[in-house]
Amino acid sequence: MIKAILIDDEPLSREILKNYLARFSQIVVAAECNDGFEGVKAIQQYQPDLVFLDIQMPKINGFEMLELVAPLPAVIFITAFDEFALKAFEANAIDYLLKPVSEARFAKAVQKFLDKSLQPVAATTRLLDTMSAHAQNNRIVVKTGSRVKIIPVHEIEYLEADDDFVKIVTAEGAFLKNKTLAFYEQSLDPQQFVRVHRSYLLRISQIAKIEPYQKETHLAILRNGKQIPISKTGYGKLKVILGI
Amino acid sequence: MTASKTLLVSRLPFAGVMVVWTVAYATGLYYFYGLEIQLAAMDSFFFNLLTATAIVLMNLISAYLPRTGIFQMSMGIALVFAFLSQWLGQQALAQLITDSDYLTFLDQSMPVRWTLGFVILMAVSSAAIYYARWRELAEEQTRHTDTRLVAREAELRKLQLQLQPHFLFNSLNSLNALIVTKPDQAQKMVQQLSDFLRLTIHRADAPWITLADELAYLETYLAIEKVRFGHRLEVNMDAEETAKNNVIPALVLQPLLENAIKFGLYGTIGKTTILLSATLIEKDLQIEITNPFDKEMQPAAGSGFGLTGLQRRLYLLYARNDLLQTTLSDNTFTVKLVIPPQP
Repeated sequence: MIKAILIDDEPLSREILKNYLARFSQIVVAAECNDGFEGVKAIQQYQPDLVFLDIQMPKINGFEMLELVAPLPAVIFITAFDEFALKAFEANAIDYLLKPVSEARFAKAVQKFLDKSLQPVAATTRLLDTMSAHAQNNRIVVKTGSRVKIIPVHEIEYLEADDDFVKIVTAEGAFLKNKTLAFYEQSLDPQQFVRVHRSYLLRISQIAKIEPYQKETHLAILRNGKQIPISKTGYGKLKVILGI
Repeated sequence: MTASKTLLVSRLPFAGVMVVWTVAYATGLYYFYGLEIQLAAMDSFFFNLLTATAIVLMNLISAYLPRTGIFQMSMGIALVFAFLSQWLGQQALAQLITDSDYLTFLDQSMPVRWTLGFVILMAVSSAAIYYARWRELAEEQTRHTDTRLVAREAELRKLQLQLQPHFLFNSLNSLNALIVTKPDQAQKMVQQLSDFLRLTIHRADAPWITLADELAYLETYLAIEKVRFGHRLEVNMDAEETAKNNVIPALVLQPLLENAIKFGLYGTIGKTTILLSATLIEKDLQIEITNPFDKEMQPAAGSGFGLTGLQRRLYLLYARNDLLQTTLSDNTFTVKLVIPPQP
């Protein structure tokens, strides 16, 4: 039996997918979800083989939801009209369905999955990187335990490299995200965030003062008193942006 | 070469003015200088015929003068033409008339005639130059206004198109599902979608619309949204009867309501209730739209229609920046829109 999950905020949209899926006796719909939050839980709970995923959904979109899921299931994306997403799909050779979804096209996508030729997970990972680097740089979605948290970029104090993760620090606390610091250095506004150190990406407006530290290095004292080391190159970058 | 098209001296009025002037000139000679009527008439006729000829010639020449320094040049030409025309007049009369008293008067009067000729020529040509300039400016102004109008129309049309695709494809998707699952409802939705599209097309030509018509249009739009989101969307519209006859610019209310629905549906989870109220305060129409809002939410980049576009349009229409105001409370977002009478 193949387990599938439908994630779309419009009941009618799920209805038609279920209807089309009835033709495939080997596929069973394990869950239907109204939004990404339910989606994350359902994927965790049922460990589906295949996910039909709408992109435009309440609060967090389909791409953001996938960022919170590990391991990634096979995904067939569904969208009504999103030129940017379509380009990303094409570029990564990922299958997607356009609304209104035709039965023939739907069957073809499912057949591709059954033939094991549907988007390898690596392509989906690549896609997520492209999407979050371009479209979503005013917020970051993280998961803490079973809770999904949306962090507005303007609430971030700094980001710190932490093994394979990045620690995103806000006034509320620290959140881990399975990304690299280099990724955020690229996707966040360089006028706001500066890589002041190999392990730190700092939000400029958080700096209260800068003090000399050991030879050629400095310390950034943040508004809340925290201290962040600044390397020689990092200090150079800061000087350019702050115009000192 | 615009000067040639815009000769101040159009033929008929010019001839009229010259005839009157010639009579006045002769009368002046008769009364103030004691010339016999016949002599005065002849004198006036010759001098003024030549002055008129000089004016016509100057106008023809002015068409071929370069734009820069046209003023100085026509002054020079006026000087030469004034001298020549009056001198020719003097020569002609000296040939025709033998009265020695008159001939002495003719010689003595020449400086006055030259001066007068110069002043007349100069006045006419300056007037012609300024008139041509003014016409050019007026033309440019008209062109400018037209360009702006066209740009505005284009912008409107673009905004209109911007609203459509997402809505249309999602509606078709719902329709597709209904055809398979609930055919009777599908038929109803086809009707609703047609009503909506027909009104949308019809509205394209009308920049102003009554509140009543706009609300009726929004109802058709909401009927479709209800099919898609009926399980969680509720919209309460409450408009004062007296306010309904007021006209509002097209495509102002619709994007606001769409925005409210979008932020309500996509920014929160669970039931979304949108409130729309319209009241008349003195002559201004005041419209408020409230939607639920989650503070935690940062709208995803590029997902909003944006209030900035609307603000710009209102500015173009009313030259006021204070017509659109937003307030954010704990869990609601309110847009307050003031619509003054049509300018």
